[in-house]
Amino acid sequence: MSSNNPETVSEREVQKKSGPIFKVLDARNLKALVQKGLELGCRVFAPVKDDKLVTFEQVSSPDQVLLDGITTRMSPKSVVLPRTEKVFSYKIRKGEIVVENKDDFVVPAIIFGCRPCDAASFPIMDRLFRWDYQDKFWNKRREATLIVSISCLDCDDACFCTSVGLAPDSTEGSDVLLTLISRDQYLAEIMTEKGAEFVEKTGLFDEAGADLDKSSATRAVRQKLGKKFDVEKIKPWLDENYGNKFWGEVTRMCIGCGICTYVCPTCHCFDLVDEAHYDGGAKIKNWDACQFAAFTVHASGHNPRPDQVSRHRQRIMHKYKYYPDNLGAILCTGCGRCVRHCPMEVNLIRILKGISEIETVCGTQR
Amino acid sequence: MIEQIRETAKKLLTGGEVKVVIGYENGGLPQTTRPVFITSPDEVGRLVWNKHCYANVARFLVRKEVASLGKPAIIAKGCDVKAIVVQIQESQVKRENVVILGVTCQGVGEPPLSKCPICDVNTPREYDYLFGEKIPPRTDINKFADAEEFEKKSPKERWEFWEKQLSKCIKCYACRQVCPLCYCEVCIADKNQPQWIETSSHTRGNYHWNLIRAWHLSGRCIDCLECERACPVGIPLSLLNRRLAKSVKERFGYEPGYDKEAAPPLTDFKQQDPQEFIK
Amino acid sequence: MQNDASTAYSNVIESGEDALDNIYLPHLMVIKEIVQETPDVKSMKLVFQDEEMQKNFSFRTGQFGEFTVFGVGESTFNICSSQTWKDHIECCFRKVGRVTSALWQMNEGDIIGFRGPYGNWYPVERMEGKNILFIAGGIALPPVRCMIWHALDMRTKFKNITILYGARTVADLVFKRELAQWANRDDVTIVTTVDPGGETPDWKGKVGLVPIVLKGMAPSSDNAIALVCGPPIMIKFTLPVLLELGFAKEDIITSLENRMKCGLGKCGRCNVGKVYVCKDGPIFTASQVALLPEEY
Repeated sequence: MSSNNPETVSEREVQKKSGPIFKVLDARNLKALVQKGLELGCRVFAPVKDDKLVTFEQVSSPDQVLLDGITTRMSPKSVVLPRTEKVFSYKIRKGEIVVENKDDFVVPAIIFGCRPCDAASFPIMDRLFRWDYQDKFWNKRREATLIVSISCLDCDDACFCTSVGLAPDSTEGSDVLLTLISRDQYLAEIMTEKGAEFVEKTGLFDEAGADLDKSSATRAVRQKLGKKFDVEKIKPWLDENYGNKFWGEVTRMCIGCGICTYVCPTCHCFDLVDEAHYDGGAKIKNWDACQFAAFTVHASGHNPRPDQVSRHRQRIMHKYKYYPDNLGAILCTGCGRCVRHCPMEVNLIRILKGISEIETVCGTQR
Repeated sequence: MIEQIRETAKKLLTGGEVKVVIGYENGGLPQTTRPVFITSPDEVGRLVWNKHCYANVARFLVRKEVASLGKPAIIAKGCDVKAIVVQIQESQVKRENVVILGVTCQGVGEPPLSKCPICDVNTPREYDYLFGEKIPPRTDINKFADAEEFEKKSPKERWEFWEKQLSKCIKCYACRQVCPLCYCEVCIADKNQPQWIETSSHTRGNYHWNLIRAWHLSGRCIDCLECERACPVGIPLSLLNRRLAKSVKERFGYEPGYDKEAAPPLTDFKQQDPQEFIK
Repeated sequence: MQNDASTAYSNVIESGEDALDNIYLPHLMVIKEIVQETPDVKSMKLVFQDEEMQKNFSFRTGQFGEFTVFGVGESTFNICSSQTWKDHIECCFRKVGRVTSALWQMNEGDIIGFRGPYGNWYPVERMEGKNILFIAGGIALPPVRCMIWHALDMRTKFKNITILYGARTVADLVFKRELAQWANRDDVTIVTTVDPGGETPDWKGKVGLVPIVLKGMAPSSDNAIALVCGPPIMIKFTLPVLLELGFAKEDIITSLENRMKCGLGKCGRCNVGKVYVCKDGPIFTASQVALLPEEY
């Protein structure tokens, strides 16, 4: 069995079932964790300032890290699901094809300083990438990535994690969750063996007293978040209302730019293309978006989703109905990026709130 | 001003002169607006006009989801109208098929977006109705100041700048989708026989896409900055577009978006066009 | 409600090896034979380059594969041969896009790639002991042809076999030599038709649209299953005829197609509602299709 044994993946889940281990971290040592990660030979990804934006990038020093925003522009999903990657390459020589299937694409990585909504996206996407067929590109990167997230103490109007069953201090998907419980101390919840190993190697954590808990630190932000809509009402309506004219009314301003898909931590649909040169080429896996017109167009020219209304409906249906139907989870963590960065303010919260408030379940096209 | 706009919209809809009024309504987030498509006279109350009316709604005149609603009236600020003018020049929109509700504008955004201090269309150049006090066009502005500044850098510095900026591109095509002048039914990037532009967001694919788009907009881009506002990774796209626009201005004395009767330089020939490339 | 990983939804395959296979990697196949069926349709016989692979390969009739033209891309084709044929597989395609145009240029002896078999398959067990009615139109004969040969190879398991196949013109009929073979058998009834105006002077078959010819044939629905495959317009008008003849929706089977890339349920492209054509299909009954939203 190779060392990248997927059984360690389910071990991770077993750890969670027996409960987290609590430790504390001196607040002054927060960025030192980044330094330790670098010293361990890992690639470290953390929020950095990039011209005018804060986004996830690989860092070479703790000084680059910026942790005081609500969240980052781009999510850290590209650490495990790169924007573009080679899945195999081949050489074409005199009618012979030689296929090269290399396995050397993984370097250990640490996602540092992401929010609980970003961490929670990974177990959600696990379900798809292991659905009957195992995607080794996802599995291997996932196994080699450590997630150290930091609880939110503030939110903005676009955040809605509490409306989809998460919380600003949720441990879902994190190997280690840090919550600032006082001015000089983080409470660390160590959720997995991988997290415990890292914590020990840093030597920066101390035992936590039994009375320490995070709920008072995050009470204010949880109240501020409230509930933007009743998620229990969403799926029953979606189950019955594929053809409802509501879709046209709320999505007509969507221009199909695909930003919502690309900034989203749970969107993962991809394209497979060949890129060739004179003596061979490679099969490339790229991010793709159901918002693009070309996503579903047949070679004959027929397009099952010929307009933006049907395409935007697909996005919402996929996240709030099809993924739950097929894989048992909502494909959304309420991070709010799609709401913040949509150039036309389509605003998913508005749409979901509207759905949850429709009095009757209307008729469908059938 | 908004009351007058609403009244006019109501009148146009009730009278059947237009089937839809394209404008802005309050967005769900603070300090935002959202494009809205009013088809019923009772709903004109949703229309707003304020410093957060960012979107270039001319985009919707060339989108079939809106064109299918029927003849539109459109609430447009100066930069939006410049886009409509180019759409008319390029036969995408017939002048008589759109009612332009021009709005005078002193700038959007708080602080104002970078395009606003150098705007000379505070009063739109084309309209059927005008709302707000007419503002004479500024003459003391240098639209290409940043392009000129950039040109002072060495070729090596410029290359490194764009190498860094374009490496951020994630090929989301948001720049194309927000642009009112990117209306091709099938964009060249989506064609695959042959695959003119690679879809991957690696160096080659990114360069290819961004440079081709800038070329396709040269002599056409009206600098509404929507591409830059939309870009999720903050690439200064308008700088690239402005450098090409400066070149067109210098060579052909032409700026798009001001005169709907003018022939675009890349589809027209004049005897005095510079020809120093013919040796 | 959200993210209850303890329900362990994931169908995690615990074996280490499977988790490390590259599911996007194609196997190499050699083009053994190419037949040009119509001006824009070709069929190919393919064998795995690796003889062991060919010996061990198996699939179920009705499944599909992803066929690679190295340097160009992949295309989704139904495996149009029967599972009862062990020494090769076949595909049939129309030259309509980038990959099929490149495939068109290839010669016998050239190498392509294959990933599969994917998808579900014809419910052969349910069809045994019954009368089978095969209806196909144009380029949609291949997904039905595999089951026709399967049934003919296992002839005693099925009762009456009736085939109705139509195309726009005589030139558009695919697998013409097999149509003749089936016509020469006395354990099969076959009716071929072309659209009005599509006949040639020496055309001996029927002239008329498939649904109309079907109505005229009026096959019995008693103890029968219908397999229908064709362009949407043909299905639209054929379905009511079958229902009128007394076929139940569960007894009408079809093969859907949709734009695909991965073929195994991950790229998110081929879904029709919550159903993935690559995983839950491509074989569906008419009653299943009736529940789908119209996005295929």
